[in-house]
Amino acid sequence: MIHSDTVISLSQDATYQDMGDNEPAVILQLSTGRLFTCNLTTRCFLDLLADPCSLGDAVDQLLKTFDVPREKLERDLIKLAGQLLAAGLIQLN
Amino acid sequence: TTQEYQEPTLEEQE
Repeated sequence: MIHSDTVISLSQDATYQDMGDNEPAVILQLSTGRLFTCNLTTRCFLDLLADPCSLGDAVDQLLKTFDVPREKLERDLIKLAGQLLAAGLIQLN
Repeated sequence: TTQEYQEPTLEEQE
C-alpha cells in the first residue's frame, strides 16, 4: 500500500514526452511498447519522479502549482501512484 | 499563483 512516506521514482522502463508547456504528456513503456496518455496533473507528478521522491514531498510540491486541498491531492496521488506502479511506469525505492 | 486542479488521469492507448 502506498502512503505519504513511500519513496518512488520513474521506472527505467518508462519515458514520457510532454506536448508543450503546461500541456499533457504521452508515456511509453519501452519493453512492451505500451502507450499511455495523461493530463497535466499526472505529468507534473511524473516531473517530480526523475529522482526518488516521497509521495508526501510530491504533494507539497504540487500544492504550489495547483489550487486544491491537501487531503484531496494526497488521496488522488496515492490512487495515481498505485495505477502507475501496477502499469510498471514507476518503481518503489 | 496556482492553476485550476484536475484529477490526475492515466489512460492506456491502443
